[in-house]
Amino acid sequence: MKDWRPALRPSHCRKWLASAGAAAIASLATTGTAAAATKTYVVSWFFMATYSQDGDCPDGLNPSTEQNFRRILSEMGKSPAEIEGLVKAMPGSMYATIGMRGRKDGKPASPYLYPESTPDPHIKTLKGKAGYGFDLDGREGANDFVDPESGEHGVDNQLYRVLGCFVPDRAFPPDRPGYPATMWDMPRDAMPAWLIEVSGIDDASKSGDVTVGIYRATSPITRDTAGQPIADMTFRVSDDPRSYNVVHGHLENGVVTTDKFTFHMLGDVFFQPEFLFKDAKLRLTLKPDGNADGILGGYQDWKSIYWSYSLGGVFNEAVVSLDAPGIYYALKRMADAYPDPKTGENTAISTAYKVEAIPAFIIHPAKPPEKTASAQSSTGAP
Amino acid sequence: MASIQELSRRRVLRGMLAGSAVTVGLPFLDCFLNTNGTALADGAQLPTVFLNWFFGCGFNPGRWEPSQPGKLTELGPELKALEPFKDKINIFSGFKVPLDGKPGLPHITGPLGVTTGMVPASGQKVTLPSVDTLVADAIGGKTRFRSLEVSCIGVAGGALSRRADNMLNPNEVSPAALYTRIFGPDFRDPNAADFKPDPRVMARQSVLSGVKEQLAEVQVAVGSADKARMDEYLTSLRQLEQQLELELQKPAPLEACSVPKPTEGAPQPGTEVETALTNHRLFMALLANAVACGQTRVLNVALTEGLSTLHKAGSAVVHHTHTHEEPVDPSLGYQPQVTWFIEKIASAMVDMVSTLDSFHEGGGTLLDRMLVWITTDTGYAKLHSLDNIPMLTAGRAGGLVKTGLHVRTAGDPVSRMGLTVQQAMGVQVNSWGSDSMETSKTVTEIMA
Amino acid sequence: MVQNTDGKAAARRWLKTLAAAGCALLGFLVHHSTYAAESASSQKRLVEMRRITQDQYRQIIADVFGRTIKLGGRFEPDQRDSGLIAVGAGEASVTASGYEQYDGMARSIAGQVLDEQRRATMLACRPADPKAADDACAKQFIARIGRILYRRPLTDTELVAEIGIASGATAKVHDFYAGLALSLAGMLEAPQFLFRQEWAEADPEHPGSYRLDAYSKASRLSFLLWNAAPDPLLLEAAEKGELNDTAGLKRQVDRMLASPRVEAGVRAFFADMLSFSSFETLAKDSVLYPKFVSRAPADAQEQTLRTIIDLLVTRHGDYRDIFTTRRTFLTPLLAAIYKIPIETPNDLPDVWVPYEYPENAEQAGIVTEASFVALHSHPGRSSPTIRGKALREILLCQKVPDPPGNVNFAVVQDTSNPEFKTARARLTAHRTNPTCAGCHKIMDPVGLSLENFDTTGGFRLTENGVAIDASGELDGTKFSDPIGLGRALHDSAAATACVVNRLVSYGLGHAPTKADSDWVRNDVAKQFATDGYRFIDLLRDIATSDQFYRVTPPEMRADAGADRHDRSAKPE
Repeated sequence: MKDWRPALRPSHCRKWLASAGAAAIASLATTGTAAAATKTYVVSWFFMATYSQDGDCPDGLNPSTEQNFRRILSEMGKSPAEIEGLVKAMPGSMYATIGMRGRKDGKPASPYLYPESTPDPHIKTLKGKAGYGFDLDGREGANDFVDPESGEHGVDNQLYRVLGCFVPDRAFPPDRPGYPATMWDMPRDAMPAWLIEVSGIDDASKSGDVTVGIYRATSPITRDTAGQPIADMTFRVSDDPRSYNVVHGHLENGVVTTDKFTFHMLGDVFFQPEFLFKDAKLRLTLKPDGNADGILGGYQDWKSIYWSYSLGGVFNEAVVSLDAPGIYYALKRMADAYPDPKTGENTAISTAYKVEAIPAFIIHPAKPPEKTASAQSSTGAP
Repeated sequence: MASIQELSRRRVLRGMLAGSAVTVGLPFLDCFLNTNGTALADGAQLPTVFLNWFFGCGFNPGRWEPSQPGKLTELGPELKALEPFKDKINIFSGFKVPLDGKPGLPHITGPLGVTTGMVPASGQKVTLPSVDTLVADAIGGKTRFRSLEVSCIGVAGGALSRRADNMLNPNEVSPAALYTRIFGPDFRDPNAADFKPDPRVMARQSVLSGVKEQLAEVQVAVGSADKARMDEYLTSLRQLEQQLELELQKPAPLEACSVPKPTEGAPQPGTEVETALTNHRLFMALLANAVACGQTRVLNVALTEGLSTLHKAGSAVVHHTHTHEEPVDPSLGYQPQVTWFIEKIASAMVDMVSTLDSFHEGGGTLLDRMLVWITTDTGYAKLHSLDNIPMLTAGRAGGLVKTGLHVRTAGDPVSRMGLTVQQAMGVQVNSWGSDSMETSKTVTEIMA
Repeated sequence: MVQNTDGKAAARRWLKTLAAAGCALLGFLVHHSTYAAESASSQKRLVEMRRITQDQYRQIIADVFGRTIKLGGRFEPDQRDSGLIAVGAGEASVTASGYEQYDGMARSIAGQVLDEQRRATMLACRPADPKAADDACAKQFIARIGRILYRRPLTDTELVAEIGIASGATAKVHDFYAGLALSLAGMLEAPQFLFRQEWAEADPEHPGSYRLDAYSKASRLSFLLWNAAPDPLLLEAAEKGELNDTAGLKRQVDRMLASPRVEAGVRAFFADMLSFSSFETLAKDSVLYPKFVSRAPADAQEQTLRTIIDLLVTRHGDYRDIFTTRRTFLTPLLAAIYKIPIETPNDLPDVWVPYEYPENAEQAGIVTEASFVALHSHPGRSSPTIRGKALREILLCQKVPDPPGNVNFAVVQDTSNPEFKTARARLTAHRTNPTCAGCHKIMDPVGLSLENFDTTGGFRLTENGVAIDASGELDGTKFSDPIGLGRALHDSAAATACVVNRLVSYGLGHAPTKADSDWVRNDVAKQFATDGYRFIDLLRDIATSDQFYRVTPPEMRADAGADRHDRSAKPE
């Protein structure tokens, strides 16, 4: 028996829908010569792609909260006895002190708003050779990775080097790195979902040209009994031009790889309000079980990544064992693209994110948004 | 009519009881305290308590029975976990439910036979009460709750404790809700220093009286079948009156009673194994406290229904289905998945016994004055066999029952145990059971 | 009951205690005459007592006191008999723990009804002294409320007794409203409220026979059509004797069928017939079937009820079409379970959206909806046997025989352990072994045609990698998919006979007697066919038939002494 289910509703039911006040739904199977198929998904997980292995942090992993705090208090001139007492008691005043450890003109300043007001702690960065992503600059450099999935050489993923030695940012697949995964998971019940559409799939040869759309929905996911998004829900695509990406791609042996494109997507203030990737690429494996997963990589302006780590202030540092100014300094030092014309300093850093997706139905807006000529982000980054 | 004031209440009621089929729930009056009230106060002779503990789909034949009858020296592999309590339990093997040509409805005929002593013919109604109801009728009239019934897998419509098949006692499914029912606002702490009768309770009593009066007239008008239903309604109303009467009296102090903390963390009722075992543990702790605080003397705990729907998370197949579909492993000699479930059930059995045995009262434990009757629905679930249906008891019923024994018969009816258990709990009965289950042969091996 | 040491009062106290011992003592009772006694003098008989169901209880409380009243308690589980809770209600009593719960709920409801915010609306009068009894004001309240709660006016004596209860309680707690609330609580746990008491009177048109009295008639009518106690207009019609007049009865029936409240009545019937009470204990394995979240059972039931209401009530449709209709209603969750794209206005998660399956769909009719396939399955997988049995017993009123006494299950021991990938393969022994096949051939071939629906109602083409064969057979009609099964049900005479039988049983509160059966077969069923199987017309036909209201007092029944409720052992 064939599966009678249409991917989207056939047109003769439109009048039944009209009574429900529906918008137009794109129909399929009536246009084109070959039976071109479309697969649609909702993104279930999105987090920094990690491939943590023993020995990839030869200088050791970054210290715990307590060790960080001890160091900071020592730098601030506290005596060993004082430090002992403070760390044991963990009083609120200590958090306040550490939370204002910066010094501007001799006065206390927020190290989160003014990271350069504290000395560079020189966080430990990743030295390993295996890491996900794409060769964004077309060169094979000393800091480049080999992608363990695609085998691609010259992979640029400096973000992974910056963060990969923080314990909460480490995981070996299929495990997910704790902090980035939590940052994605927590706002999901309110954050409009992300959608992926792969259309123009030519069934016969299982390879060929496809079109990939990455959109934002108008509603969030709904959770199932395991806390994961329920599969096969229907989402409406938002017509906000800041979240509407369409790019040509190539499908080969079940793997879609897109051309370079600018990826623009709204997120959530909890982890990152807006993503803007230049020279982005998506590699997505369409799995036989109906799910999809892959890597989205590109150059991101590093300051917005910094903000996502520093927004939580001292409590984030404490709970997650981070050093926010340390991350700032490392991001700045290791950023590898789009130099500021005035200062010459790189404003963007290469990144790669893991994408996991499950089947979903999508409904396109009546009118797709018009892309503005220059896809400037509202945060003013390049 | 004789001068009513001249009749002592006890004499009048005795006379009435002789002619009436309905048991009267007597208020716990001072005149009764003379016979055992002082005993209650000093805890020397706390009342016996009955628990019917039920699980579905039985054991594997040959793996639960001790090899020899008599003193319990070694337990079979499936009951090994009860080893620490060997001296406090009895095991009964070889008992059956004889069908006399009537249909053996899987998972239904077995429990009915065990608890009511009756096997219904096709289409026949079972109008007999279950053993626990008979026991509650005899001893449940002086406690706040006549009996308490729980299901560990969330089945509220119980089929085990019944007055008749249209009068089934429902089960509590939520430990938290049961906590509120027992230890919530209507609880009177027997050890509380001060006590003041609440005028609202007296007002409620007068209202119930009024309801009862109008009821009596309806009794005249109904047909015989409905009369039984109104009798049950009346009995239930009387139980509430009993509760209110107790609320108006200062309860006798009970040494082992301490109000537990509210039950928390109970998982949503369900048939997943760990969920059922967790809820079972919470229920047992609560019920033990309820007994120690004198709230009831009859308990019914259904770990599963006769058709055991326990399942492992992530598994498509429930316990009962495994009993029919899983092949016997030739090297082991039994069905491994089924046996996994049996072992889980045995661990719950141990939880139950150890909960009761860790409650200290006087010089002993709560288990000492209890008679726990452990029953199931079949002798071999794979074949729906009604032969060799496992039964156990735990506890000494305050010295009325011997323990540490294995009693083996060659196909005697299970009703012998139903009879024995009733007698041990003080029910005045000499013979019990229907058709070929009718018996007057008490299992004397365990009577002290 | 006033406690004092006066001799006369002591005697009264004793007498009341004696009353508690049961009917053997009736001779000692002080004669309070009630409805029963008054009815006895007018030759009325109590012929039926049906405990009100959970839904009826809730509906009555909402109708009388409004929807803001919260029910603070748990109901004793309703019992099912002859396939219906409406019949089981005729056997249910009240257990001790059930009574405890009713009492708790009654006090909670009564307390809310007369709390400070509501008492001004609930009570037209004010007591002279709020700390003392006020019989006149209590009487107003009790009479008005009691008439609706008891589904008939209170007799003078009942009224006097209730007023006495209220004033007695007030004297103890020194609060008029609290005392009145306690008396209201007493009424809410009295048998006149908890049981639908049906009284028979001599039928003047059929000397020697009995019919329901006017109020009992009104109750039977109202619970059938609206699943609610009679509303004031119906009570008034009963009082005026209009229900004994053909035109008068028809007027009320037409009024009630035209009302939106008929939806509640139709819903209640189908929820009962389709055994939706089993949803209370339904659970699906959360690891294997994570889509079956906590609201899934409620959505599943609601989908089917909406489908049925839309077809049978809104569109005045043909009953048989419930097995073939492609028009249904979905929530986003149900759409995800069925893997269907739908659009919801404003992306609201709780919205119901009308949906029509395309013509080539393999899903149509209520038997392919989750409320059937998910309800009649195991937690972790589907069950053709359970579904087949449910279909036979619930939709066709066909009893699957009990297994014979000495089934030797040893024959199904298969030591070769072949790996069965589909349910069809797993049930091979049911099919091929003669001991099993006799009964299983009644169930399995029907259920196997629904195997494309997994245990949650989700559609699938394969099981464990093997393609599912959904061919089946129903009483000689063969089909290859669930649509074919729907068609076979549509064309089945047993299906239409079954719904008639069930609806009559539902209305009567018992399976049809011999006299009822003749009426059902020769009049009702025939009329149903003539009316194009329109369910509303079936309701009208039953509600306007004399036979529906004719009763036999217990002592006059041929099987007097035996219970006419069929309480054969419940199926597995």
